[in-house]
Amino acid sequence: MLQGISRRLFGMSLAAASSSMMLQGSWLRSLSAAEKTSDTKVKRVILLWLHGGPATIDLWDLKPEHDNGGPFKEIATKTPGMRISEHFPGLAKWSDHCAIVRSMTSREGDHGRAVHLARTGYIPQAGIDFPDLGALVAQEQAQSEAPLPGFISIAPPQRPAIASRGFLDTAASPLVVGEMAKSVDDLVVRDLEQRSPLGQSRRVDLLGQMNEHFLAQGSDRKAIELAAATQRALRMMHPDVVAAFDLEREKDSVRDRYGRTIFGQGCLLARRLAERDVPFVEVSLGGWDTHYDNFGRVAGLSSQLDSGFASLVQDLSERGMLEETLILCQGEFGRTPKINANSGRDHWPKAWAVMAAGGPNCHGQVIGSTSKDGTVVESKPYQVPDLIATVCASMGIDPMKQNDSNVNRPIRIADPSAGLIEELVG
Amino acid sequence: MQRVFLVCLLSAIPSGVSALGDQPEGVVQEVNRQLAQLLESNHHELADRTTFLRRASLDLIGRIPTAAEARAFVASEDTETREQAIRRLSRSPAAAKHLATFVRTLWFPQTSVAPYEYLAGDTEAWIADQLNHDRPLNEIAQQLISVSYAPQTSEQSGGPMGSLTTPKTLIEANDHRPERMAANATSSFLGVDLSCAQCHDHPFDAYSQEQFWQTAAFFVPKSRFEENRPWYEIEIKIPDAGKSVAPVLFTGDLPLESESPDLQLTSGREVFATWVGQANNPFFARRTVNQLWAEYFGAPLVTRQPDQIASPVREQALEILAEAWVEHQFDLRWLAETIVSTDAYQIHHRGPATTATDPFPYMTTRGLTGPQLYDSLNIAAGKPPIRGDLDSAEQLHDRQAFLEMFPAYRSVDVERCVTQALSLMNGEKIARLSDPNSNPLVRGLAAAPFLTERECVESLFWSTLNRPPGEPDWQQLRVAGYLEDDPATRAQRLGDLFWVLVNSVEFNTNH
Repeated sequence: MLQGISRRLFGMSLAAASSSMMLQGSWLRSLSAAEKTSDTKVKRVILLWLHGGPATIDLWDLKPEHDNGGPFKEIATKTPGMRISEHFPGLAKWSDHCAIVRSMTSREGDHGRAVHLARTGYIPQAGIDFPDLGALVAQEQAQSEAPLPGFISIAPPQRPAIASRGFLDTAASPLVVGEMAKSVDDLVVRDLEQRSPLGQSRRVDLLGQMNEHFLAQGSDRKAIELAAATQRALRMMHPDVVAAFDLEREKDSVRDRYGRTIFGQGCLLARRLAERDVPFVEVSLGGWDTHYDNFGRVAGLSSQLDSGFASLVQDLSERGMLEETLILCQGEFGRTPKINANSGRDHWPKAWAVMAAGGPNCHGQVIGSTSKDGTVVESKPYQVPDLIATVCASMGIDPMKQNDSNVNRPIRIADPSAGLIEELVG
Repeated sequence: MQRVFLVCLLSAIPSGVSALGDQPEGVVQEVNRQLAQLLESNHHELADRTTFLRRASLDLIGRIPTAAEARAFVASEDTETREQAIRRLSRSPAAAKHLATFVRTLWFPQTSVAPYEYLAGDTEAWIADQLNHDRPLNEIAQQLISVSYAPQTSEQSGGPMGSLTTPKTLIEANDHRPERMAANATSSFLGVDLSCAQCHDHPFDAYSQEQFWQTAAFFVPKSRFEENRPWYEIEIKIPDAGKSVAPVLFTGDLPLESESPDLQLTSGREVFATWVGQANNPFFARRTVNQLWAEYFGAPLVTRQPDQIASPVREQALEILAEAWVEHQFDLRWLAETIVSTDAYQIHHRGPATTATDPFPYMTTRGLTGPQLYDSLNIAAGKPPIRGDLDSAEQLHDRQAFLEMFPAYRSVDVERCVTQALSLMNGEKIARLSDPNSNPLVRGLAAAPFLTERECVESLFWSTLNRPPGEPDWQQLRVAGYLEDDPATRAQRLGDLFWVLVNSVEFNTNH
């Protein structure tokens, strides 16, 4: 280990070396954590993205003793000490494969900025096009010849507001399934099916030859990129790959269990894609911006979330894939513990929670805590970059790796300030 | 400093550039000479006529040439020179329209995406109209920055020419907020990024927070109670700083003094606009030249990134072009003509791939932008180009839907993701164009029994790739069965070949 570090430092320029010395604190933390990590690595991540800022005080960190708590009851789970909302009966049965971080904190209370932070790990900075975690993972984990893209985003609220490859290669771009979907039938990849399958193979062969000949004449990055995008699209058009997106192939009973909602069926699709080793899949569930009628709306959303999430855990477990699949469930911030005059809750980045399931290290932990009234973090405060670094470390990705950015300045996968959420790395 | 500025305001043309002479050729030669110093290690033969015409057409009028244009240009080697072709293309209305897209996206990049995309059409149409009337670009910029908040009558709208209303793009695309207008105007018109300083002083930034807000103060609108208040007394509050500041340029100069009534400028934006458009403004000409160069070469001549390799030759080339452009009264079409006339632009570049550190501003392959791709597909299929003023709502809708799928408007921004590749292969637009019944070119060829298979294929190549098939092409086509002599399947075969050609990397790039 030590040899590795000194060699590394040795090879760096003086400036880079000294800045790396300044980061030593977080380096050492990640190194010690890496030693502790068990042999099993996370192979893929499924992000359940709760768009709009979920009231985590009504989901994962209830305050039944306090006025801020609202009408929801807590239920016990399989794991002593882990109590969650009554609207998660399905997940309660899988609590021994879950972990709740109740001590997330940030300073961004505006949706745009907070979404940017939560998804990229960085606050917005003029001119820098930061990539989403999904793109970062895809960049590191995707196999270049894989039939499916490394980052697939299901039913995102609106492009390009979220789901972006930022300054990474086009290969890290999200494949969007069911952009702005209005019904389950919209969960399709646009233009995936060939319109004239008969002439297709002859066309495709000639196209391949022409491109090859063109590139052989002397080509540069742009031409190679274009040809590669065509190749990736062609691989996806293979009938076996097209079938991955066909939910009709699932039994009715399975589809019912996930819930016949866009989110529920999106989770089922995420499972089908995980089975095909897509490193990062996200499924969005919007509608959490509950300034009005928080409790009515959160109850409904929670029940959608419960059936999709719990079914996903169950299926992955049955297939022996749960240990190597990390499911993250989060939005951009939490909501005010104090209930407003419209029985709603407003934006609250100061204290919020993230739910995780699967992977080698989720086994019923409740990490960190908030005050009795839910307003502040009382123990183990964690920031978004810590979460990003933790996810990367659990996949064997060095969170301090630098990528070339669009401003010609190297930018690390996770902000240099990031540490690890130790309880989640084994 | 204040006096210096005032003097500059009143003298339109700086001295010291006349050595270049008045002829555009003189500038081209000077730039060529500068760039030639770096040419030695690279191939520098000129591209052939077919390659040149396709490249210049895409850059100057935003689409590939028609088969007829391409064939005629190659055949006319003795009669039409490259210079004449450049002039013909760059003086056409299509060139004004294409340059208007460049200018709009350069100045108001936010109008390419929601929620400001509703401003794109009017802004572009107005800019194209101005360019068609040979209005200098600095005046166009001035008018867009200083446009009045008040509703306009048609007489006062388009300046000396044109009947379109000056669009309030700067105001509306920035939600009427002075600080956003200031950031937009400085970065877009001048290439100076002040926005980092909006919230706080940054240790590595060239500009302070106070300077940011002093610039923003130019953009504060006067209320109707303040009509007589001079612009330099209008202040803006720095949030959370407990103080207000009056307009001062970020260069440190105070643009005008109270005792200069002869200039009769009433709003801060008018003052700022006047400064932007002055011949000696150190930023405006350089910004425009650098970005138009980026459009034609895939990368700007000079970037401000800290780790960019210093290139005095590039700096010099930029300086020469910028000064000459000022001397030519900010005529954007002249600038386009001049850049396209350089050896650097016309070089045959498909040699060994260049690296990022290569100092020569070597033309690299560029992907087609959304509008270039859309218009070129239609031209390739033998359809007339879409024109906003002539075409049906259905056609405009078709174009809009296509541009949403291929949203890049600047050649430097073109990237192709798998979704776009799928759309090009399986999407409705290409399916229609590959269908012999709705592709006029294929339909015409299929119905021409006097043409041989080879002649039909040749026509398709000229229409899409603007060149005849080469020996390797013929061989591949033969093996793939595209040269069978079967009239019954000819239409389908040609439709398929059209699909192959427009999906090829060659069609999708400018090279």
